[in-house]
Amino acid sequence: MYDTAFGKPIEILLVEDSPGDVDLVREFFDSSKIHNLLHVVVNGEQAMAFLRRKGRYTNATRPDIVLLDINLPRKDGREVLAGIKSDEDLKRIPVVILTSSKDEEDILKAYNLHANCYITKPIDLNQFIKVVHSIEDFWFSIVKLPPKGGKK
Amino acid sequence: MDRKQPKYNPLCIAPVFLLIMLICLYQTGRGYAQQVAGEFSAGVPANFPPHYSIDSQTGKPAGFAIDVMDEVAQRSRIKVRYVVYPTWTKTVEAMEKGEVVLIPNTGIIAERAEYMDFTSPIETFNIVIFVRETTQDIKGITDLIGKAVAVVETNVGVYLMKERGVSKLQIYSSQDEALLSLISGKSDALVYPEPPIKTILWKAGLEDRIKIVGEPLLEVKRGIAVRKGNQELIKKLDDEIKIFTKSPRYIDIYAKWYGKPAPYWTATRMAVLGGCLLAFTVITLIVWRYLSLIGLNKELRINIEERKKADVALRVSEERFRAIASNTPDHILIQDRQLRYTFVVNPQLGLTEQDMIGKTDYDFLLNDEADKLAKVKRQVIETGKPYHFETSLISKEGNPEFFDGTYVPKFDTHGKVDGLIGYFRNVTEYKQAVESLQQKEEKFRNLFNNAEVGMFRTRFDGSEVLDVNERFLVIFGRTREEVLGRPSLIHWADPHEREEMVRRLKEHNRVAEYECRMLNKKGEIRHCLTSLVLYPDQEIFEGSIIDITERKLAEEQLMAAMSDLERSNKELEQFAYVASHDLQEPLRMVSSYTHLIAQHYEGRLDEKTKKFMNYAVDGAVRMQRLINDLLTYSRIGTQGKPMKLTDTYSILGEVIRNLTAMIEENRVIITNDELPTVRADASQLVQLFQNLISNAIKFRSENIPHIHVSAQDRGREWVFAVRDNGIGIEKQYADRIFVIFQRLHTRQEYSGTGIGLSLCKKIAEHHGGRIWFESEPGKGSTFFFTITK
Repeated sequence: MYDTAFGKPIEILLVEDSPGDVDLVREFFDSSKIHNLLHVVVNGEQAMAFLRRKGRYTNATRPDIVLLDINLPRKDGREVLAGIKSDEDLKRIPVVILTSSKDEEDILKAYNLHANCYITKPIDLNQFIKVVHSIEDFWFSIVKLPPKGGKK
Repeated sequence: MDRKQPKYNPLCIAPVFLLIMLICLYQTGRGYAQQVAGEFSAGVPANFPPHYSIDSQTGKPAGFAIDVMDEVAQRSRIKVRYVVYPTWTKTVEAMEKGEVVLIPNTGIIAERAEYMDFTSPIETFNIVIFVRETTQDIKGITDLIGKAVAVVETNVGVYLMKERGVSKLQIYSSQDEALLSLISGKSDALVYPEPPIKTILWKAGLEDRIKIVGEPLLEVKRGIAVRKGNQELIKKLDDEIKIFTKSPRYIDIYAKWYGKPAPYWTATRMAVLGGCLLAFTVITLIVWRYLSLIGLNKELRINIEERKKADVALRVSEERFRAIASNTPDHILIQDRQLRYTFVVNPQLGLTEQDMIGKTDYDFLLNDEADKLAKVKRQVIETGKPYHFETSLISKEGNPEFFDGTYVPKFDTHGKVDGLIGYFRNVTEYKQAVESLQQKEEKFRNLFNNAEVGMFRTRFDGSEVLDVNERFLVIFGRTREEVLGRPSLIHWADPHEREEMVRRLKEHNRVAEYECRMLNKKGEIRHCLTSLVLYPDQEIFEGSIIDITERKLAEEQLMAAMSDLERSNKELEQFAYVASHDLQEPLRMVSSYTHLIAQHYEGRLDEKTKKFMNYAVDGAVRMQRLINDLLTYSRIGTQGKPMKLTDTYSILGEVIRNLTAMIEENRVIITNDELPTVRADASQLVQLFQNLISNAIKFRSENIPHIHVSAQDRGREWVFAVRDNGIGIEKQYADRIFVIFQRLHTRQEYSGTGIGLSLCKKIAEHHGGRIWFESEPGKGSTFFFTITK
């Protein structure tokens, strides 16, 4: 449970190339009661750079959770997932796959790469908001996240 | 048989006899000098020429006898003193009185042996009958009766004539007078010792006027008479006489007194020699006979031994022959020259040996047949040449039986044909085997020639093609003449592949289905599947060739099609992915932001704008449903799971569970018959049943929906039926309803994209089946689909 008034904000990394979706997610988290900080990158390379604090992301904070789309330009979501889960420093960060793909193969592959959960974006706006709300509720209120800077 | 050898043995006699004979001959020719001192007196008559006479000049006795006596005396180293007596009688008396010891040349007569002994004969002569050359009627002693026969007084002839009763004797005092009487014709014959007359005739040259007829009347021998009791003297004289009478001196003396040499072959000698010769001949004959008898005997014994051995051998041989013959399946017949059977083994025609022995073919066969056989058999006997033939008989079972027959002449021990032997072998099975072999070979030949596979046989060194079949010629577009006897076809093969093929062939003696490229007559490449078998001992190999050029082409086409299909499948997958992800995104944007706009302008939008915005959202939602349906449809063939045994009853159960809300809402009654287990993709089968049942409910009539599911076994497939009592379908739409997105009703009447039945069709086809329906509008429909077993 986080202290929503005084505690540190929840750091969220959203990896999403569709500005429409980014705005929808941002709209939701801006109006959220939970104190959060949404970082957005638009492709896989940026995602990895952010996580490893490379390039212009040298001062980036370690996110508490990653919301990852699968189909991304340059480096796709699967590669990013594989990179996170095979990195000793990053592998404890929960990764939620948020994608419009219903493809069974995509789902299987994501879990094989140790995705923490797989969510298909609903087409209906209300449904979508419901889903994002569920994410917020589940991951930020129910789930105990690993302590930051914890031992490897 | 053992015959006793004859017991007499002439050989024991023959040597003895021969010895005696040789001694006789030797003794007559042997001479040796022995000194005997002494003088012996010899009495001689005064006148008995040519033996004794008184020489008119010297007054001393002379003559043949005196000369011989002198010669013998000299040789015996004795001295002889002659005492002359007037007559022969007086001389003999003088010896009896002991006045003289010797009388030279005295006739050796048995009567005289009483008072004197004789040496061996010095002279032998015959008393013969002399007649004139012209006399024809006197041929012997018997012809002398009534004839005037001249004789000389005191001569033995007088006694001989008187003895034989010849009365008309003319007795002369001397031999000269008697001979003159004969020559002058006064006498018809003269009987007198042969040598003195011959001497006179020889001296007078009258030999051809007088001849001797008939047998000698008497043979007279003369030897030196010795007074009895002088054995030593006799022996001494005898020894020298034997030598002397063979000497030239004796011949000289003889010629002096008789005018002709004394014949060596006197009657005695002749007799001795004759006797000897006779004896020799007899002995030789006996010896020869004996030897030949011994020889014959030996031969006989050997013959008997051989006979015995031969008998035993013959018996053994016959036993063996019979043993062999009676165990052979062959028929053996022996006939004599009269064609009577003498030996039979395994007779034919159901006859026994007893039936046949001593009989001829005429006893068993029709005359015509027997005639034919007799002709052949006689020919064999006459020519001595075997006769070979084949014949057939009908067996008791009525099947033809074939025989291979041979008549050979039978030879007796002398090599003469004494009959014939017939051998018959039942060759029915052999013939059948040959026939079946021929048929088989014919079959194989046909198989070979008509095979759809090219076949060939060729020398391993590649020098010559020995045999090929029709197909082979077709493959290479050549004629038989262009191939047979020519260098091997292996030269038509691709050099590298050929090398490899030969290597394998040498290593394993066989190559199976080796793919190689070969050139046909036109120089086109034919892809050939070649199998070869090498027979190293025969230095040939056989092989088969399948022309797979067309197959290869088809394969290549198939491969191309396959890769096309793969690519198409990949594209389809790509499409499915695009449909599942990339097409969804923009739709979501349309729908989401239309919503956001609506929220954003809430209260400020008029009804018309709201309606438009609803259409936009609805369109996006429908578009998404279509995309999803299309995705499902496309995945039927490509993402199907492997077929598994699936219980259709439990499938139905799952469908009912899935449709619970709908079923309850419509109060549907679902019944079913017994449902089978089939090989299927269970999830697709669920979808198939679910679509049909949900359609049946969706298109219900006023009545309570009643759906019945059944299945029927049609042998190679199951026919499933889903029957309802719904609104039914008009026949004209039979084809249309199974086409994707084709609808019979508006969305306002019945919701749905129109993919349901096309999906069903695709699933049924994916399971090797088909789908159709029967319907009566207003009463209901029955959908049928099949699934192959």
